[in-house]
Amino acid sequence: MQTEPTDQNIQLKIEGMSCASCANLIEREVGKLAGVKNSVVNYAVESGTFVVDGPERQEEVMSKIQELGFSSKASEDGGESGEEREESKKEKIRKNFQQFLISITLAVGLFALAMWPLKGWPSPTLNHWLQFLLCVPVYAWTGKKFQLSLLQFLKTGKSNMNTLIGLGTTSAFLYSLFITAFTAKSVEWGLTQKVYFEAVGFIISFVYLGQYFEEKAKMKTTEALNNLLKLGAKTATLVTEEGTKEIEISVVKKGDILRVKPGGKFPVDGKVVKGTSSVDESMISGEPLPVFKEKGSALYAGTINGDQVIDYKATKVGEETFLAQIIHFVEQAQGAKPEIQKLADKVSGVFTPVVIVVAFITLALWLIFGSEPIWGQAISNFIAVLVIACPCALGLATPTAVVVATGRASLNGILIGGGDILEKAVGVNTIVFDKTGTITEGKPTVTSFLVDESEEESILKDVASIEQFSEHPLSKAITKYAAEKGLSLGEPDEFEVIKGKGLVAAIEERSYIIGNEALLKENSIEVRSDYGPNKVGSYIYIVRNQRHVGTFVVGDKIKETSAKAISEFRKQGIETWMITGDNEVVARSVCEELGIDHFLAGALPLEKSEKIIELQKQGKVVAMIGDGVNDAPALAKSDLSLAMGTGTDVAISASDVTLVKGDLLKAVEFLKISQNTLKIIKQNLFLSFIYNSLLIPVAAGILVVFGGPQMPPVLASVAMALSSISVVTNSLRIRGAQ
Amino acid sequence: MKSVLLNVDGMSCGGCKSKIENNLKDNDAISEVTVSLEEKTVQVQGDDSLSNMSLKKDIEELGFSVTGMKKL
Repeated sequence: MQTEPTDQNIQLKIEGMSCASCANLIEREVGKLAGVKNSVVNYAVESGTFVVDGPERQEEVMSKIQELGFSSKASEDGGESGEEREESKKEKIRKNFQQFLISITLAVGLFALAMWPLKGWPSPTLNHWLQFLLCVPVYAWTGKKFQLSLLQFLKTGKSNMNTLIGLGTTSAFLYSLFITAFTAKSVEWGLTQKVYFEAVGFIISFVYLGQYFEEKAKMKTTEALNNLLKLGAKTATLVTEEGTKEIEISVVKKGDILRVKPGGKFPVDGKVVKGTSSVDESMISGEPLPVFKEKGSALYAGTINGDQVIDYKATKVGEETFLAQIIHFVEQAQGAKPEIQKLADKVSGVFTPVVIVVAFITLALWLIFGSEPIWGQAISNFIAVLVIACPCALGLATPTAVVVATGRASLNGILIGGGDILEKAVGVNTIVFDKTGTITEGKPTVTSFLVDESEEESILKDVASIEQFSEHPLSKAITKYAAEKGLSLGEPDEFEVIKGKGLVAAIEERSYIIGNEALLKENSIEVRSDYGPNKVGSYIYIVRNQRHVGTFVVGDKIKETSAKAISEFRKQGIETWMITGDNEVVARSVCEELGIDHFLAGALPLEKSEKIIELQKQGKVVAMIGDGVNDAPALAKSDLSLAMGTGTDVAISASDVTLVKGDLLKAVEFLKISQNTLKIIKQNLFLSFIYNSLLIPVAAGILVVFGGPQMPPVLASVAMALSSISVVTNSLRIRGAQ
Repeated sequence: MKSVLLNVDGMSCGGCKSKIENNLKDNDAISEVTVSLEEKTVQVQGDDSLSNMSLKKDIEELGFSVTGMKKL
């Protein structure tokens, strides 16, 4: 989204939403405010994201939300820890359960008086009055929020699920009160002599019970996000000249030197200044193997130190840490809505008013066409319709699935930009890979060392000792190659960089010329044919004492997981393409090795994106995976874009999905998660549509017309609670699926 | 005692010159530093324990690049 420079994102925690209609209402009403450019409210995670034209708008947005009957507070990203977030949720769940206990106790008392064993005790009139006394606390105290919502509806015409419960219970309560207080009058008017106090008690009880289970399940959907928040450390050990001291993480500044003991958490991002250790980064990358860290290596907040003490310099603190960015990303993603939800939102937006209308039609039809007891039938069916209708299930269907999926993916090192992206991923039938940095490591590595075997070690030692003085990437590849062989290096006596060609050096009386063919020609040295070019890669010739003694071939190694990932894609029937700026010889050899279907070599950045457009014109749905600045145009044009987290920021910001560790197998996993999530969303929507469209007529008494049973209001409230629970539980299945 | 001559790129003024001289002299193993802006060289005299690699790193940390080195 293009935003003006003054535009700001505000993120609010919103409390008091009882169903998706509430979320819709807030989204719509806040969206109408002046200066609000975008408004997205997510019921499942109880938050709203608003794009506004200035910081002063926050107050206006918050007061509008309050006016609508909800409360909101600014969510300082990361300011709220995982524990706090979980604690406030748990508090809410406890409260719901308490309300349920109070209501059900009174409801059981009501049942005793209305049905068994105290039916009619001590006299019919007194019995009704006793029921009334027991019902008042449930109706007006535990059921207060439903009645308030009804009042809100009468005043403003804005309705939600609570309105339905409020209207249902209020009708039942008032009808019963009238029968009880004005018995004679009601007989005269032909009203059925039945009270519904026990129905009020049970309906409110079951709504609370349903909300209790729903909240519990919803808490599990945000578990992944909470786990991310919990990763952050609370304190840090600051190393000063006087020794070490424990400080709060919030006061850590860039440049501070921090010490982390074995098994400790790194509190902020930074670079090692002293010590070596292996670090467990699985929590942010999904990579199970510990990563070796030495002086200069980057460390990330939330990762866990291995077996050695490490001193490191803080380079990124607070909101800048990689962990904070992941959390921010996941929170935003969970707010973005897939297309499929928009229909559901439209339906649930008009759902409650429609149900209210349906309920009154039911009432009218039964009063006109019903048989005795007319009023009893009509009132009972009216309440049942109001109580059974569940916009919740409809509203929860998509967001809960998206929240579970994005959360689970983030813990596995896959950052998904939003629910809509999961949807796009499912249709993909062609994948275009960039080569360098995506399929391959993207940095030069020695692929072969052509040398006489007897001299291999001595030459490598000399050359690496010299090359460590050069910052050139090819030199780095050679010193790394020597370090992997465990060679200890010496120091040259002389060395000189010849720009663009190589270097000239001397070590222990031996003279070396190390560089490309041009450098050898310049020194009139002949290239030995057995060490000459016959492989793919860059050549570095070694001349010792004026004689060509060996050659390094430096190439770009294919990542270990690339082959497996590509064969997985092909197994799923996806067409694979590789587009690279590299030459045809290299491109062909990589494609042949990995079994990639097609390639385009020597492509300029814009040619990459033109190829994507061409494939799209052939009717293909194209995903692009890349890492570099040169891939950005192609990433932007593709239907689905994935960036390697090891790549450039430009590529990452142009993409829908980031694979944190740059592992192509994670792209395979992402496609699987997407397919699974879409399947679950469809099941959820199906469940809730079927549920509502089948059970509302039943509640209205359609079965009675055909001689079947009538649905009592109490049973309707049980059915309603079950529908929400089943949808949320279904979404949680995404967590377990592989 | 040893003496090393380094070719250093990026030195443009007296400020760079004194920056290198002052920083290198902090090293106890170094006894003398001579910077020549015209020749683009830094000549260092010091103990035999002085490592060429660390000398190069020290200069590069100050923001210059070492393109050559010669023992004198």
